[in-house]
Amino acid sequence: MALSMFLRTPVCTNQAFTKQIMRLATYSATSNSSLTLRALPSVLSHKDHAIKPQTTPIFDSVRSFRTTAVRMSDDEKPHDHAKLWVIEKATSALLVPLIPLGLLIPNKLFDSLLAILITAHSFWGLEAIAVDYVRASIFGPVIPKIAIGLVYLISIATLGGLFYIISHDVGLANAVRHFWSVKSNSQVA
Amino acid sequence: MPLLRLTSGTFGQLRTFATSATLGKRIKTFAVYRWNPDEPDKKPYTQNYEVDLDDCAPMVLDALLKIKNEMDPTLTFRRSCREGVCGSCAMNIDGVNTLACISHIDKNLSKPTKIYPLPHMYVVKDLVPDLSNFYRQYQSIEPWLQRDKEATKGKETQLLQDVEDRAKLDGLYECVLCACCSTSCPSYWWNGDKYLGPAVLMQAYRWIIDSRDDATEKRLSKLKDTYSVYRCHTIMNCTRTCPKGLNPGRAIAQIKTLLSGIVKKQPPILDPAGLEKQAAQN
Repeated sequence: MALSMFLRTPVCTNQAFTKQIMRLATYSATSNSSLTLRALPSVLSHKDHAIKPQTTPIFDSVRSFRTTAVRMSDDEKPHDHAKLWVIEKATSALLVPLIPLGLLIPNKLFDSLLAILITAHSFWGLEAIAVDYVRASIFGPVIPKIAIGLVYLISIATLGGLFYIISHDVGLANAVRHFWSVKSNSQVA
Repeated sequence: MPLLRLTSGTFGQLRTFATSATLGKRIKTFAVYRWNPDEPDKKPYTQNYEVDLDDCAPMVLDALLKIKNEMDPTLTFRRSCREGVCGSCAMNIDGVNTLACISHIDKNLSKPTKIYPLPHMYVVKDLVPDLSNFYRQYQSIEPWLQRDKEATKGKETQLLQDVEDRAKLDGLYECVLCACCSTSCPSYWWNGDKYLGPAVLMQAYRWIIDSRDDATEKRLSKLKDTYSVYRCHTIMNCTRTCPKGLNPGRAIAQIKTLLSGIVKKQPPILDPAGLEKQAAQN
């Protein structure tokens, strides 16, 4: 505590001393543990400290304290996920009444609406799985993008397939109803 | 017959305690995770320690201290207040993240108590995790009061806050930043670099809904991206494991409603600058 106060207020403007302390406090985890084996230069050149030390000081008293905001996620455009979240939850909420309703009253309009909602809901669900689990830190830079691509592919195929059932087949509600009307061999006999 | 009555009940228990204390009959095994950074190639292992519960205070931290003092001084762990208010001794005890100092030792002698460091954290040594990222994330939410107009030095007046507004902070300010909740969250395990985690998010909420704070818009806008808040899928391990009985899961849900724009922060019941304005008039 005292050491940190000492270092922050430039009472002792001896840079060499400050750098010495920083050098002592900065300890690369990968290198050998014994600090005494290293040759400690009495004065470090300015060039050494122009580059930010890549290692974190182990003594908290010498850590620099940033007060500006630290961007924790990607430094891309500030992606507004908040609006998307509202739509995701609205879709989930809408599905609750619409699925029973759609099954009760089979018609093309409800079927189409349901197809869109179900595809969207599944897409966002699969996307969350891919984002959560297929991480760049374990899979590298390429595979996560392939995973997201697969999610898009599956969703498009789902939507296409559902619309095919609506337009060229019995429709979604009727298809589900037909599943329930399938009788097993033992029952028929 | 009267002599037999003497051997039962409380008096009987006192009698048996007095005669068996030195025999070490209640031996409990503690299976503790060990790893030494000075021998980095040696894989982590579990070391068993036997503690006589008759000679040990009731909490897990007491057992750890007894082991360190009497059996193995190299056992390394963080501790400070020993009363559940500092958050230093957070660790995984029998699969649950809690504070060791307020966690009673399970008296079942047939099973060992497993003590592990907080899950999915880099280990500095034995039971000591590296919480640097956790602290960096806490720093990033700017955990201090921000006013539109800071008071001029020397002329600061008390900021007013209604009792009801202060009640909104109950259940939020008591957090000791022990990291039990964040390290129990699977989303934090998988995306701990970008997802802030329940502890930090609950503190973000604590500052967002403080009636005296003016930086609500700014605070919320920093949380809008895909990772900071929205990796929470309401798993609720956080609330389940909090050793202080707090509810980070609920705080995160409140943040989500505020971010959605459907719910807005209520204006303060008492104008915080009330006294300042009064002083300016006089």
